[in-house]
Amino acid sequence: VSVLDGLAQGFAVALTCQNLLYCFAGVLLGTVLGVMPGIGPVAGIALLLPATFALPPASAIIMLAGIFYGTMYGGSTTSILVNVPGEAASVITCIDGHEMAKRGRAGPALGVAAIGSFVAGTVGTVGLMLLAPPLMRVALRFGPAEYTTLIVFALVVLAFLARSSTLRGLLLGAFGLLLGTIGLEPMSGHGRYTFGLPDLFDGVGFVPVAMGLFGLAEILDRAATPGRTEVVRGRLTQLWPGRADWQRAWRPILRGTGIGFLCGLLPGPNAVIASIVSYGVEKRASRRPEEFGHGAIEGVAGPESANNAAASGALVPLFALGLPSSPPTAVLLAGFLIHGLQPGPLLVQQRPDVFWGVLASMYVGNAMLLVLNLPLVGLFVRILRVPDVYLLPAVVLFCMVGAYSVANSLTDVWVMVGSGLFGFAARRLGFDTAPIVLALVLGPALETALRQALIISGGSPAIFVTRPLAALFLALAAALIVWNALAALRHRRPAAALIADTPGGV
Amino acid sequence: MARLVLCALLTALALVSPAPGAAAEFPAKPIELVVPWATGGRADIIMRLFAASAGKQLPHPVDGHTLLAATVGANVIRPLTASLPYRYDSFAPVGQITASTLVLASKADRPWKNLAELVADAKKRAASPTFGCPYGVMPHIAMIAVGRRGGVDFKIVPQQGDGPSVTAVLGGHIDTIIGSPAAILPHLKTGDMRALATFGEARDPALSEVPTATEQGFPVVAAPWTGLAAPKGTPPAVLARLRQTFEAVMKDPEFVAGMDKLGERVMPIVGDAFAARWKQDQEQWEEPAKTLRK
Repeated sequence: VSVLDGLAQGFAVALTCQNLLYCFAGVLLGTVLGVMPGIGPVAGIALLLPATFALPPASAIIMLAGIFYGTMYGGSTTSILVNVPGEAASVITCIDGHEMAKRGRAGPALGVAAIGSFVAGTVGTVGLMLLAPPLMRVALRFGPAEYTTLIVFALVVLAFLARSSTLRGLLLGAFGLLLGTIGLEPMSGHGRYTFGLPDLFDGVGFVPVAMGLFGLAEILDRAATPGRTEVVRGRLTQLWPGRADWQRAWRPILRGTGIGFLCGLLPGPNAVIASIVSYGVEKRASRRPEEFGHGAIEGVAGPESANNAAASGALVPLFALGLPSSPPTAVLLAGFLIHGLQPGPLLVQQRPDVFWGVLASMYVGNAMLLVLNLPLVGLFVRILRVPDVYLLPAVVLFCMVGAYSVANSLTDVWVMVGSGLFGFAARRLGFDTAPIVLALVLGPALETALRQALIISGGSPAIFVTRPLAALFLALAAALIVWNALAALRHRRPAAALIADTPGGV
Repeated sequence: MARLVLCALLTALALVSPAPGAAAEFPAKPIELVVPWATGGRADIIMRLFAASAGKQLPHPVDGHTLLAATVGANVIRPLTASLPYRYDSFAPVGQITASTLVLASKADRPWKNLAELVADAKKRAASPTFGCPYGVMPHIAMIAVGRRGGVDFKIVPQQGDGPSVTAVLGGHIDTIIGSPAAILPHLKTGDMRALATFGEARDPALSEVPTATEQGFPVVAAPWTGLAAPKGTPPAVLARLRQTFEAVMKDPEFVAGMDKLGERVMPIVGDAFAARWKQDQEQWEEPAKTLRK
C-alpha cells in the first residue's frame, strides 16, 4: 500500500461523522486541559481512558491522540497571559510571551503561538507518516551516553538564555538540579533528602514549583509595583500578528518544527528539551539578540512550534516500534492495549484502518485546533482588561488549585507558596528563575542517563567522548561557553559585570 | 511513584481489620478495591475489569470492605529488598487472576542462540553481560539467581520499564532484556530480537520453540502473578464469600474476553493454593534478594 492509498483510506476513516466528533471532543478537551495548570496530557488521557472502552478502536485512539496534541496548544495561553506555564514545555514561552503581553502585544503572541503550533503539528504529522521507520533506526543509536551529553548541552543553553547574567543562570540551574535529587532516586528507589516524609518521596513536583516561581512571584511583583499594568491596558490595541511580526516569526516556526520533531524522537522530557534548544537557537540566529527576554516574538514562535512538533515526534517510536518514549505516549499505549491493539511495526499491516485513520485525523485535528484557538485569542486577551484587584487574586487561586490538583496534596500548595516567596525575592535581587524549573525537570533524566552510561562503560567517562554523537554535543556545549566568554572579553566588560544584573530582568 | 504510595497504603491496610460480625451482613457496605499503581497501567486496567464483573456477582453494586490488588513484586519481592512494615504473609490471599512468564531476549545479531550459550560465552571471555529491567523487581532477582547458577556476574542497567529496555536492546546499548512477553513478542516476530529463554515451569504456549531456563540447566522459575488479597484477620466466612465471588468472576465470559483483549490469560488459583504460591516465591527469592538489601 503506498502512502497515498493509505492516506485515502485514513481520511475515509477520519472523516466519518462519528470520528470527526470524537476528534473534535479530543482536541477540545486537550485545549481545555492544556490551559488548566496542573493537568497535562498524562492525567488527561488517563482520566478519559475508561470513557473510550465502548468506542470502536479507531475512534478511541483518534480521541486520545487529540487530547495529547491538543494540550500542547493550550499550554502557552496562561504562560503568555499571566506568566503561569500550563505545562513544562511552555515555561520558556513565559520569558518572551509574557513580556509581549506586558507591552500590550498579548494578541500577536497568542496568534503566533496558535499558528506556529498548527504548522508544527501538521508538518510533524507529515514527518511521522513518511519518515517514521528510517528515523527510528537512527534514533535507536541514541543511547544513554548521547542522551547525557544532550541534556548537558541543554543545561548550558539554559544558563545563557537566562535574562540575568550567565553566572546567575548557572547558579540557579545547579540549584534546580539539586532540587531534582529530592525523593526516591530513579535507579534503585532509595529515598534521598526526604526526611522520612512520604510527601517528598515523589520529589519536588514541577507544577507547584513552576506555579510559585512564575505565577505567584509575578503577582507579588505586580502588587509591589503599582501602576505598571495600567500602561499595558492603555496600549492593548493590536489583536493579530502584523506583517513585521510574520517576517520575524516564520523562520523560527520552521526551525522550531525541525528541532522539536527530532527532539521528540528521544525519551524523557523531550518537549522541554525541544523548547529550550529552540529558544537558544533563535537567540543565536537573531540579529537582535538583545530583544530576547523583553518580548521578542521569535522567543514565542520557536519554542511553541518546537513543543508541538515534539508531540508528533514522540509518536514515532510508538508507531514505528510500539515503544512509548515519554509519560504521555505511555498512557496512549495503554489506550491502544485496552482496545486490543499493539502499536509497532505490525500495526500498519494488521489494522491499517487504525494506523492511517489516526494519522489522517491528526491533520484534521490540527486544523480544528487552529479554528478553535484563533477566535479564542480575542477572548483571552480581554482577560487582561480585568482590573488587577480582581485578576491578581484569581490568578493566586488558579495557582493554588493547579498545585493541589496534581496529586491532591496540600504539601504541594505549600511548596507553591514557598516557591512564590523565593521567586519574588530572587526577582528583586535580579535573578531569572526559569533555569530552576527547567533544571528540575531535566535533572532526573540526566541522572538516569549518566548512571546508565557509566554502568555500560564499566565506570569509564571515556564513553562520552568516544561515541561520535555524544562528543558532538559536548563540543557544542564547550563551543557555546567559549563563544560567550570571548564575546564578553571583546566587550571588555570588567569581571564584575558578569555577575551584575542586566537591566529589565524578570 | 507507585512504590511509595504502596508502602503507605499497605501499612494502612495491614492495620484495618473488619469489625466483628461483619460476616453476617456481608457485603453490606461498598467494597473498596485498592490498586496502588498508576492510573491506566496494567494492574489498574485488570482491576477495573474485575470490579465491573464483581459488581454483577454481588447483591449490591459494590460493597466498607477493603481489598488489595496484589502482585508478586509488591507483596513478596518488595518486602525482601526494602524495610517495610509488612511481609509476604501479612495479607490473606484471595485468588490469582493471571500469571505471565518472563522472557530473556537479545538483539538478533548477537552471537548467542540461547541462555546456555550466553553463559558459556560470558565465561569464556570473562565478561559481564548487561541486562535491562527495573531495579529490584522479580526479573532482576531472577537474573541474579541465574548468574549464581552459571557462575556469571550479569550486570543490571536499570530501566524505567520494559519499553525503555527494548529500546536499549534494539539500539545495541545493552546485551539483553528480561521482561514480559507483551513488550518483546512483536520484535521477535519481526526478527529484530531473539528469545534466549523463558522462565515458566513449562514452555510458554506463545513461545513454544523457546526452551525454559530450567531446561537449559538453570532451574529458576519466575512467573509474575497478579491477584487479589484481603486484610489479615478477615473473618473466615467473609473470606469464603470473597473467594466464591472471585471464582465467579474468573468464569465470567465478559471478564475473560476483556482480559484476552489485553493479551492476559486468566489463570485462576483460589484460596490456599494461592497462599502456597506466595510461600513458594518467598522461599525461592529470599536468598538471591539478600544482595539487594541495603
